[in-house]
Amino acid sequence: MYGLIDHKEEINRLLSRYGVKFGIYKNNEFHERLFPFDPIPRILTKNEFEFLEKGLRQRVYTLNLFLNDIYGKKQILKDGVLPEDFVYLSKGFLPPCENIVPPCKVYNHISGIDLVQGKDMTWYVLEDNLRIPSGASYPMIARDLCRRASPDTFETNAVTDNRDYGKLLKRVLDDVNTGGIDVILTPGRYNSAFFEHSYLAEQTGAVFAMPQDLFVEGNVLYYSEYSGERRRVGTVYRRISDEFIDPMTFRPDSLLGVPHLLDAYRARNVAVVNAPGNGVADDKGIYYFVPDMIHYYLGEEPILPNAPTYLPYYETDRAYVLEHLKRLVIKDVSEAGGYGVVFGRDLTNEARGALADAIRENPRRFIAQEVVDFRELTVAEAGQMTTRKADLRAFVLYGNEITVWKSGLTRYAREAGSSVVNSSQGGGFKDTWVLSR
Amino acid sequence: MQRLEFSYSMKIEFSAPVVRHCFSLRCLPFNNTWQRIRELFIDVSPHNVLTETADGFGNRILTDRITEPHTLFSVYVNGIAEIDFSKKEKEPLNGIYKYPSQHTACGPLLTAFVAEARPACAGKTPTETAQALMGMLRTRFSYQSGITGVQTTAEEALSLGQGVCQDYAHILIALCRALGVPARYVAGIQEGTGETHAWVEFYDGGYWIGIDPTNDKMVDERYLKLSHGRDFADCGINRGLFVGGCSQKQTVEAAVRVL
Repeated sequence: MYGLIDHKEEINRLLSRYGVKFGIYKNNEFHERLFPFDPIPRILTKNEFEFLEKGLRQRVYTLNLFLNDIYGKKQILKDGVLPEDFVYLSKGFLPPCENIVPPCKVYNHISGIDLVQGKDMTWYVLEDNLRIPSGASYPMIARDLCRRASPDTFETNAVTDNRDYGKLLKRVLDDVNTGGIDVILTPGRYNSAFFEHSYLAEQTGAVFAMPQDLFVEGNVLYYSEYSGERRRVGTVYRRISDEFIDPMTFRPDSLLGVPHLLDAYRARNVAVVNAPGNGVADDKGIYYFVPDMIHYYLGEEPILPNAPTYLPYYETDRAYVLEHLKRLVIKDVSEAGGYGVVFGRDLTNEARGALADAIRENPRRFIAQEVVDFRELTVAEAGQMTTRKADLRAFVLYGNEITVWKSGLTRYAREAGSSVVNSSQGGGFKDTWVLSR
Repeated sequence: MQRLEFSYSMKIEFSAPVVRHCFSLRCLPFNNTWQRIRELFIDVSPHNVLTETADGFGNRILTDRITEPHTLFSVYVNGIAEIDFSKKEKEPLNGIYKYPSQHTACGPLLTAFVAEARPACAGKTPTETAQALMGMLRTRFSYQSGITGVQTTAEEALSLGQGVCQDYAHILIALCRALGVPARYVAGIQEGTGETHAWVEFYDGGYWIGIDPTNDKMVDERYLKLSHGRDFADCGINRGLFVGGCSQKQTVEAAVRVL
């Protein structure tokens, strides 16, 4: 595999030529950035992957049970497993979605579960991304380029092919389809993951649509063809956030949405992938309770633990957090994409004091975690081998059944010692190999 | 039991033709155990594929998308309803009505109001609490149209000291919820006024009970209920979007007559 290192520049150049880019909003301006690729893959053995697969299925299955419960009977709240404020005050909880039963009862068709491996080799779940997790296209296309650059590498190593993601995704879209075509809906080219939207449409054979191509009539979603013909849509894989998808229900000023989409979905005339309102389950505050949910719904022990997390909402946790602020990482529960994450150790005394006040004032807004000492992975930086902290976003697909994609997006921090790997914060990525033996 | 004849009529005149006009109308009254709709006539013009459906709060909605250019949009609904509070049934409480919403979040003024009201409400039933809050609100808020708009929040309205039924309802909802009484916003029609109206329902002993802070009284069987939600944003009677037009003039007439 080290044979790939010589091809680093070439692969990065091809990635840029193919438009593998990531968009960032900085000072209200849109910038396209390359997503730097490191050719040395993260390698998961067959056994290791099988362990992760089991844990991820358990977690994703549970999160879906939770979502069905929360938008239905809310039994978990009646049974007091988690305080109801965490649901009702979560930004991701959308009362207009009450009592919707999605096709196949699936809310989280595509989950991106962020994992880290500690130095002791224990895997922890750091975050569940259920809304519109992006990133699967990067390792697919990188693998393709690596195979072309160094075919030998893939003859001598038993690497499972990861180029089936499109097929897996299509199967999910077809499983939940209520009758009609599959559509991938993008907000447009100024979205940070536009490249991925178009690539996935190509890979799945779904129709690639902009908001103005779709309309609802008689509670049915249609795609208008160039010719003026209309085609009924059975599944829409929308890459637009909940608050923008339907201006008749959510933000009335949204120009990206499709009016009455939520009505058509409620009437079960179309499947919306991922299901609106599922953000309540990837809320950082709710994350704390996922192990309890696994006990509650399945009567099982969680296979994959959470990173050690404290909830300032609870008095004992709050006292601990305030006392150990300096060595903890504090996350604002309503933020995503690496925003609203601060390391206590990086703050001045003054800033730490202000944070402590904010926690005392509004404890529900924060969670605190021990800084997991990630296992570092080898990267090739300026011709030199060095190591960087890295995480793994595993993609779990849920239609009639749950499938864990035999690959994933490994993101690494650009700076030595840093543990912020988000692409929106300048991180790079690696391919993830799952060995077939 | 009261037998009511009701009508709702709404017109929008556009100064230039509009197209792709999407609308959601929550103007069909609830038809349940205690509000029985005996007759219902609906006319929406123009329309394309007029569809009756429901939202997440249990409201009936009429939706459509008019593609043809038009300069006039009109809605007319009328019918006969029988209102009988003795037929109300216990309902499970949905927690969404316990927490602040977009228009009812407490700022400094509401928080101070709540602190002041708390001792007076200690040990009281939800009904007594809602009535006490309504009485207190009356001393510091008066009816005046043209001061507030549809986007005005409870906190903003309270700071202005004047407003319309929507504002009365939002403030009372915010106060009730802050004092532990679940409350929701109701849009409907009251006997005799010629306009649509808004009031509040609070939850007591398994029942939703109507209270009308604008008129300082409990809701009786002369009110027709059209929709409900956490606040105005969930259940506005008419929500629409269109392309084109310059200015629009909307007129609404609503009436309830006791038969």
